[in-house]
Amino acid sequence: MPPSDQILSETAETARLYADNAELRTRLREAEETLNAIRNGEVDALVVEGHSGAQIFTLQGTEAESNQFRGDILSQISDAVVAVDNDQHVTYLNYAAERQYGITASEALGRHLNELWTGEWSSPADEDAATKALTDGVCWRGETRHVKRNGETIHVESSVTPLQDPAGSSIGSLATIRDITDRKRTELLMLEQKHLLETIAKGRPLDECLANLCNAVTRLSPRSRACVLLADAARKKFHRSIAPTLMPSFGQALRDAPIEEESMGTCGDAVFSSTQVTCADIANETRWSPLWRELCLSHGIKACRSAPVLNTNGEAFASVMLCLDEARSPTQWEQRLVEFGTSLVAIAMERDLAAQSLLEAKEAAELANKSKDRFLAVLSHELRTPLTPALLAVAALEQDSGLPAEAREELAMIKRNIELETKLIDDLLDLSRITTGKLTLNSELVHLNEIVRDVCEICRSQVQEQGLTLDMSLDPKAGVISADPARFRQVLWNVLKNAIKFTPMNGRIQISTTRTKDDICEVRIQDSGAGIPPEVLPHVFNAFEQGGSGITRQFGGLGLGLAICKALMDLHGGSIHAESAGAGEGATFLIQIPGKLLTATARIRLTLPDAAPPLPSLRLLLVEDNADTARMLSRLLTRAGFTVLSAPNVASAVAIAKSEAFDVLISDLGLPDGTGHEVMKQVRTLHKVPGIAMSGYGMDEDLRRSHDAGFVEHLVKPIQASQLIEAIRRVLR
Amino acid sequence: MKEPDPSRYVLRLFVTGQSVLSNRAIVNIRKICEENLAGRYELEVVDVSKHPEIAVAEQIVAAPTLIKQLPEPLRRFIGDMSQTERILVGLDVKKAGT
Repeated sequence: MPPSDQILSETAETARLYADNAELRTRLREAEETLNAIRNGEVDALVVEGHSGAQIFTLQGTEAESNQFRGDILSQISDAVVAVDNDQHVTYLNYAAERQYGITASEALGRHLNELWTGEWSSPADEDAATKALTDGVCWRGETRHVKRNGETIHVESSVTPLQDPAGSSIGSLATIRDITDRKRTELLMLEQKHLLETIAKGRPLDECLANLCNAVTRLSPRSRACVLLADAARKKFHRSIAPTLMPSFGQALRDAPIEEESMGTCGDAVFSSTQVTCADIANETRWSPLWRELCLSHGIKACRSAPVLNTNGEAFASVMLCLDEARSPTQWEQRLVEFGTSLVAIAMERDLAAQSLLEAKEAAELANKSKDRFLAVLSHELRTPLTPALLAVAALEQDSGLPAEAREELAMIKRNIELETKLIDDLLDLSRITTGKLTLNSELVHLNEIVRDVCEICRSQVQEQGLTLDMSLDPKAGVISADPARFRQVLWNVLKNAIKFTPMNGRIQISTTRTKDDICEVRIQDSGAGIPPEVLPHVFNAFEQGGSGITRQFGGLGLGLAICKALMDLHGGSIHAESAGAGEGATFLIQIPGKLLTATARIRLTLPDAAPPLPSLRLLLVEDNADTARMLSRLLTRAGFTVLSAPNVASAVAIAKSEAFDVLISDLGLPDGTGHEVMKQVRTLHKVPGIAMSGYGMDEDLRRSHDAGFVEHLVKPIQASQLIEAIRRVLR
Repeated sequence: MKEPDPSRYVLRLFVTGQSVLSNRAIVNIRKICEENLAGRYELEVVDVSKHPEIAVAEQIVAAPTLIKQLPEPLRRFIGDMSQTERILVGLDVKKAGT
């Protein structure tokens, strides 16, 4: 060994000896420290190796075995158990707590509780209550949320108890924490579902329902955002997008996205394949288009799951996309939210479709109803027009004194039948006016008994013809009612006519009035006639029902009378009821109408027609295109002492007005070269004469239009000469 | 005050159940580690009442005891770990007297 090497080796040997020496000193010091620590009570347990292995002796009087037992229990239970010292440092956590918070005991012990989770309180009051309970040294129990180290939020039910040492001073607290996230989430899910279903059931717009759904998803899972895409009818592309929790640009970009084999993104794929599609890492996924990838990433979407919404035929017509802000697979809960979304979208869409078809059906029905009204109006006009000349011809013939008596009887028959025809048309028109709400009442105060007497008077001849007895029993206290006299008379007349119609020879009809209450008057019309079978009774006030087709054949009529009566009584704020013991047992009709009791001094002025004074010789301009009607009217008016100028159309009427003077304009409304309204307007620029319109249309709307054009009167065809003369008298008053 | 030390620290703290001293030792040693060895230490807490065999193998005679297993040499500290200065010197994190 060279001398230098020997020196080196000796030096190394010396160094080693020094090191060993130092180490031994340290060990000795450690042993001394241990001894001192034991002497000074700085340790609380000793480990002694005996015959049966190691034994632990605790120095605080507690038995190791019982410690062990407690430890076993805590590690067995499924709730997380965490102990902390007074400064919230973790001093114990069981196995369940390690699992729940994703941390081992060795990692967690000694750390501040905040490093395991952050607590979120449902309300500040809860936090105050918990702090107070722990300060007071009592147990606190309640529900809070814990945000774990991985960002996940869980709902927990905690029970916190203060810990004390044997001397009674506080050494911290012990918490038992149960994860109730599943229960809580299900509760919240049900609640959200309830609200959404309510919104859908209320018929709110589809977009609002779906936007509410997206908002609900984010409430149920704060880091998730939902987007609903609706496919067009052909299911070739998306045509609507609802994504209120994402930037508008996201939904806009996905509108018109194609649904095909090479879909742009997961939604198109989901709808095309009718299966759920997940992308756990959008940034590193090449299955779909780069455009879609960029779109998602630029909107903070790192992963997603898209699910198709299927209709009852199993066809996908929409997609629900759940967007995540980190690259990972969706959790079970998030998957459940996707299913929640698809089922609600399906319900909302179905409801929307049903509402739409309902709306369409309603519009179609309304349209049909309108054309029905129009049809009725046109029909009645067409039916009335030919009656006018016939009625006028009868009136003219009646005045012919040379007519044989036989012809006169037949003339009366013709007149009665034309009037009956007119009545049927009027009923038809009345009903359509009442049912469309176009009929208004001109109510005034009238004596009930007087109206009843009037109506009986009108029917008297018919009663006598059929050999019937009509008993009247009028309550002197019946008093005054508020009614449209013409319409109320119509009701009574209809019911009485029915009674006459259905009561056989020698039968009896009783009509009575009573004031049943202070403000109700009643008219009772009872007959001994055909009666009403019980199965028919509930329908007698329905239009076009008349107790079966047999009745119609036997008695004629359209069966509109009672329907009109019912509608008119409703308009009067009254009522009409029918009673009958059955077929052949007679029938009773009860009409009730609100009435007023008047004191003896308060008298109602009853409008009696004034005795008609003779009319001066007047010039009339008659505009009528129907040659028959024009000829008949002209003849009757001339016979009544008027001078009649005739014109068949607007042009000739205006030409006459320019060259001739006259006192009253009488014009048909439907003319070959224009309307009667035009005639009136042009004539008024030349002469200040009143006008009388004649028309087959008698709706309130028609009356209003005539007034607007400047006519003072509007007569509905067929028109009798006497009506027209009355009108001339009125317009000149 | 931290010395650049590339080697990791592996520490084991032996405690016994839920005793006041054990709890105090746990909290104290965690504080020392976080303040001086953050990110480069492993601390294992061993309950001697649950694992007496480990205590025997490691020649533990009393609890709480802390063992520095790495870096070598092995060091032991006994008590509630409240003598921060002495522990830091013993762990070779801090020179004595500095």
